[in-house]
Amino acid sequence: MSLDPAELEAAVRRSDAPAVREQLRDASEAERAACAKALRSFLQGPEFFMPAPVMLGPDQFMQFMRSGWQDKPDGIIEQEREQEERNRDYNAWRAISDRLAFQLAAFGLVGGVAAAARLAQDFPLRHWGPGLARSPDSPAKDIELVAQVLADRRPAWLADFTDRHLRQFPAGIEAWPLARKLVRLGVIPPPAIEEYTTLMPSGLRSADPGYAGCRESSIGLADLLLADPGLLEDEVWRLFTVPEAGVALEKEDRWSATPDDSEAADTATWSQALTDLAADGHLDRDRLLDACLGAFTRDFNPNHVTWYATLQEQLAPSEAEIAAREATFRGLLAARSKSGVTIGQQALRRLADAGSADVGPLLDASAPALLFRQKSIATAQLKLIQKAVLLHPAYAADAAAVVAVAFGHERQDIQEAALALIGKLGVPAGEPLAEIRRRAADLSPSLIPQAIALGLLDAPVGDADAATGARMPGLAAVEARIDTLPTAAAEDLASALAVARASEVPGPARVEPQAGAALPAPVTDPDELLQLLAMLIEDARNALAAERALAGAVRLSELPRQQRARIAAPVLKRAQQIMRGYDPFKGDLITSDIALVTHVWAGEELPDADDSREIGSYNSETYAVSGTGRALTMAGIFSARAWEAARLIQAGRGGVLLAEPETERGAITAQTLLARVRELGRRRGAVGPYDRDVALLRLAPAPSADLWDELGLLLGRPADALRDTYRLIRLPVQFEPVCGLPLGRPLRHSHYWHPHVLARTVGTVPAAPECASWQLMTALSDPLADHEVLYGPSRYELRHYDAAVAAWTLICPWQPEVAAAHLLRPLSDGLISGQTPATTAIHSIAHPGHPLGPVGHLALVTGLSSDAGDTRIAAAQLWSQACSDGRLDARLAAEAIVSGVTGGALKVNRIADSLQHASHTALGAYRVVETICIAADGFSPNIPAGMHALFELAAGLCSKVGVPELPAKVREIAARSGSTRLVTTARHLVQSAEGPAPERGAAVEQALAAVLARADPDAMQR
Amino acid sequence: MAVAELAYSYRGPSVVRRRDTGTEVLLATSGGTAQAGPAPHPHFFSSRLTEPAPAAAGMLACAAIARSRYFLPGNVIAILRDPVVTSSGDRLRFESFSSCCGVHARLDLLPSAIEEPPLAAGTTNVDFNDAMRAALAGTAVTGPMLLHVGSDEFAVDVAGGTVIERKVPLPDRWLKGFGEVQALTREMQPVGELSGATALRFVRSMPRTARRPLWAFPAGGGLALAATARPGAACVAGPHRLVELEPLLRYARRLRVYGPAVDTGAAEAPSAWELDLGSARFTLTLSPEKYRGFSGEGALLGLLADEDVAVDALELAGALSWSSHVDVDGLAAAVGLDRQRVLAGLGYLAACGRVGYDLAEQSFFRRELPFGAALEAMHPRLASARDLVASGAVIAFAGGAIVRTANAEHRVVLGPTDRCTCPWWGKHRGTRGPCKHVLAARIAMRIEG
Repeated sequence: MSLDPAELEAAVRRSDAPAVREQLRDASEAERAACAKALRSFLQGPEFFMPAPVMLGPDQFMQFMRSGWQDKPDGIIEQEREQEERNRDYNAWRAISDRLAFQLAAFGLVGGVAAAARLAQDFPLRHWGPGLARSPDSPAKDIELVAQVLADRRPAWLADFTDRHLRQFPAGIEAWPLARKLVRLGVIPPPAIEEYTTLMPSGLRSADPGYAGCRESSIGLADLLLADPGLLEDEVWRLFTVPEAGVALEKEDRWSATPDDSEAADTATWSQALTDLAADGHLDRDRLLDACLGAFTRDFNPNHVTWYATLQEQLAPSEAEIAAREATFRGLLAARSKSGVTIGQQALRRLADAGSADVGPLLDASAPALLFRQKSIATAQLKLIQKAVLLHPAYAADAAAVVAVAFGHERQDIQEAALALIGKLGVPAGEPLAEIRRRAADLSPSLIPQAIALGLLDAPVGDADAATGARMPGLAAVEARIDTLPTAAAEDLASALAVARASEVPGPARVEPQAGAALPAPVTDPDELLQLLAMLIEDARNALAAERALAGAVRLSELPRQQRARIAAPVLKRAQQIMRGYDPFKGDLITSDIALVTHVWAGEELPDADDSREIGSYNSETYAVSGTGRALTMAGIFSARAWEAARLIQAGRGGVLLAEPETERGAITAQTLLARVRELGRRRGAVGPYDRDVALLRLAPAPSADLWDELGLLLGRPADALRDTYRLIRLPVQFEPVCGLPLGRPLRHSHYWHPHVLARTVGTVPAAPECASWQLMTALSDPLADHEVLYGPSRYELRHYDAAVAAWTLICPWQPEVAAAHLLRPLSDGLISGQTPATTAIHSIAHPGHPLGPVGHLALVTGLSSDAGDTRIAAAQLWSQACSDGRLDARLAAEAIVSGVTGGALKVNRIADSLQHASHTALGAYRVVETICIAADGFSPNIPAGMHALFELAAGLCSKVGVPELPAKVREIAARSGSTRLVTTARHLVQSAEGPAPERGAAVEQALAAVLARADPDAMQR
Repeated sequence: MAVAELAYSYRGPSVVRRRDTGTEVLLATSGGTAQAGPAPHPHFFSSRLTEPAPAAAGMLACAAIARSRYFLPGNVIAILRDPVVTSSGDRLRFESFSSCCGVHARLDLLPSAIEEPPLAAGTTNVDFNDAMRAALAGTAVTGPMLLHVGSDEFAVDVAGGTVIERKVPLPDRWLKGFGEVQALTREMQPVGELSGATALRFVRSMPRTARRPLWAFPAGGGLALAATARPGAACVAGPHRLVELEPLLRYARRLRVYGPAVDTGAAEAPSAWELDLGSARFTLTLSPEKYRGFSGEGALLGLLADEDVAVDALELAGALSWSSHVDVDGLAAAVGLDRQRVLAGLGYLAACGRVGYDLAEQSFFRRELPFGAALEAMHPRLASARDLVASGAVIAFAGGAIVRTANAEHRVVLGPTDRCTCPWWGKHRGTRGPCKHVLAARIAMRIEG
């Protein structure tokens, strides 16, 4: 029968799907191709008219938004009218093409696998009506007709098409029911791809003709499976071998289960359906049990096997079934998932209870469970071993040796439980004892006394001084240095030495801000400048390089424009791409600022200033710099300076930037600044206000009087006013910590703020109206309320906000507490997951010349509590380094911990985890113990949850380095009855404090070295 | 991304059999090179293992790496999922490479691990199918294990139609990375060492959520972590990629960490983590960042650009034996080249997948990867550099060159650290090998003598 295009079109237009199928049924491929050609315009439909975008002004947009998008501006009304008019034909065609008859015709005529896959993907979801309510028709009926049309046709690409659509689902027509229908029609083999299995749990229900998209399916899952017996032969077993099938099953069962109707839930879940089918003999129960257990030993994601555990529980294997699979259950002790190991342990425990466990192999297989990361698994294994040995005492010696494997566990409580079990089992002799003694070397230091008491380790013998850490050979050398130092420094060192001689750890050192090492010479080579710019437009996290590039670009702007254009040509295109991608001079994306500087340096035009970002204008809180180059917040100071620099470059006269850093902490010596002032005076060069501000903020202490006179001359300001401004911006600023939820819009599309740790100014804040940058730096009277403006939401979403944060400490190197107060924002940002500049913030205060005051310590501790591992490690490194260079003050650190934790912003367990990484030096470890002890008193009487983690850490470290003085609170907790983690760890701490401290001497020497280094700048330099 | 295709043909699936006397593992082989030349289904090894449990765990870890991807760029496709086995004179080596091209794993079954030496030498692919892996993992190996790499038993099944054939795509970046990792490990040196239990704690103490690379450095008799590079430290980029070490740590006697020499504040670098399992060694090599595959490291570009090295390599390839180590001095004497040229030639062969590098023994070993590769096409930077030279775009002068392209003039400074003014250099600053302009300058200078 010939395929008549006109008849087919008529059937489509009257929505007669059966007729469409009938006409296509016996058509050859040639006829289909001819028909498709004839119906091309009908099948493709009219073109959709896409109207031009309507541009709204900020005020119009705000009004539209405030009306709840109801009060449409004229432009939009006109746009909608035009769209409706010009798409009239398209909409009419769309009404036809959305119907099943049209889709069947399309599947019957489509010319290849790729087009067919697109068609399947675009298949209209006809069954979702207005308000997302399902229409009464079942999608299964549509799918069946589509499958029949495809089966009638049997194109060579059918199997490929099915695979493609299974992969691209969930878009378009239900993939699994379609694939399954084609399999059942015998036109394709069961697809081998994983999606065929992972889509089955949800797809089977959709294949039910009575299914209407809700939980109450017309037939139960078991009946659906019985209705398609082939599934029980093949596809059901694939659920146990395909990696993500467990997740799909769990998701489907969770969705199917109705908490208020447990009976319905039982029949609706896959786990119950399979259990029922096995009980009724439709599935081989033994095979099902084996397949389920096998899923735990496959290399599936350990977090994706929960469903198999549920099934195993529902299958509830009998004792005989467990006994027949004893080796398999033992194998589960090495599974990677917690649920897998638990199933193995529960089964073996049942055998042990029944007295039928094979104890020897059980002991052999126990090691992985004893070392399992989760405490509950390791503890359960210890109990299982204990149980097995109770019934078979002959294995006690071997069991003790196996239990000693748990000494290698990272958790001290597991090690302690293992020690206790060995005590109960009895310390063996011979080879098992040798094995235990070998493993006892892995015990936490605070458990060594218990191990010695059990006879598992020998008591230390030898030099008592070495054991107690009293030997400090380096003290004599330090004493010799005192005489060579100036008086004040010698006094500091002498008092520290006196403390050290009493075997106490001196410190912290007296630390003043320092300039740091000198930077390389300023950039004067155009090639070097270009290389810097090429680097910085991609990654501007090197804030010093950005400063050097800015100054170098200004300096080298005196080169002829053509020469600059030729030199910059390699990077110009990329720079323009970057500046087009993100507006420069917003204060948040430094790469874009540098890109515009590159653009201007290459001789291109600088965009005009505009006033769209002034305070009060639309979305002004998300900008740190106004459209006219004025810094709105401290975060905009670098961009404002780049703005100034770009204008100097455009002038093409060369020159210098007063604020170009001279040292690695951003400082400028008075001599250099004077030289720059003179240079600018000679050139009659211009000085931008932010360049001037930052130069003053960076100026090293005690500048000469000449500087103020010449600078005043250059800037047209009285020298006294400048001197006074300089005096004001060097006055100390006092802060206090503040914890709480910031005001304004939450971050990163979150609905809620998380508690932040910030610092607010207290007392009188020195005001220097002539230095706008200082005013911005000290605008911290209410940091929670101002948080959104200071750290706007749009900035949060940037991946490269690190570059902006990296520049903050360079603004005011002589006011480290002010800089640290600002860094608390990114650090608080890092307390929850997400890409944040918290690590950069920690690196910013890492320099030994940056003293850590109360705010600095708060920043450090906030870093220790960060969500991101790299921030925590960076903070731990800073801790360790700050101990070595004398900056770490245990009292301030403890106060910061207490403030942050009681304020609900910091987490004790994270701090404990980080401090573990900070304690690899004797001094670092000592300061950790010291801090924890002070904090314990600080928390009193409300000890926070998780404090045991800090006590456990302190106990371990204390057995090496000792403790200055154990606070009464710790002793009080240790004296409490009971065996909570808090009490037992406090007892360990007390025990450790009373024992020897072999590394105490090293801690004393390291602390003394830190004081010496601070007292003797030459030593510091060396 | 150019993609080649590898066709596997196994005579049957690899199987794990449990017998009363222990466990028998039969690994089906596909293709590769044996001593006598190409072999479709070589039979390299049949012997008991002296320490079956760590060997089984090591093989599973290798297979897991082959099936893993630790980063999901858009262009990663599922690729080679079976390890490559090299049989040397006295040992077996299982190698795998993650789909993301950022993690390389090798299990060395040392002479003490096997009761009898391999039957033949060569390299082949082995089938690590799902069922076989599940069986091996579920065995909780305690008894003796008999391992076969290739077996005549598989031949019996051919008539029954159980031949397994499949094709997998092999993108250039994956192939390139497999070679590149050998060159990078050659630059590494030991950084620190931990005993078994300490290693377990150290690996578990590593934060999993680190977005930036961490650095492991020796401290207090163990290893500590830092957030910035320092001399003597090894980079740990994407610490979650060390997860495959965990099942092996309970067998570990020592964990040794390797990394290239770095300065304070250095950029990210690759690192290698070697577990001493007694009679076996498991080495995991990590790329410098979790989203960076080894293929883009460009470590071999300098070598590949030198045509003399290519000629030397050809000569060396003919003289390589299948012993477990390449004797560099012996090879130098055999082909009449000096030691440096031999090492450069071996580096070239590494890029071609024809030799591997054993960090623990600091020596190359012959390993003919069973995939063909058109070397130059896999290194577009090198091809572009040659085009630049051929078109006369390079004007070389003492210490540098000017390379003219259609849009710009790039200034290249050659020295201990080469520099260029192109955006690519600006972005990577030499951390991913030389840019095409630097390569072109080097080639031009070599041509001009």
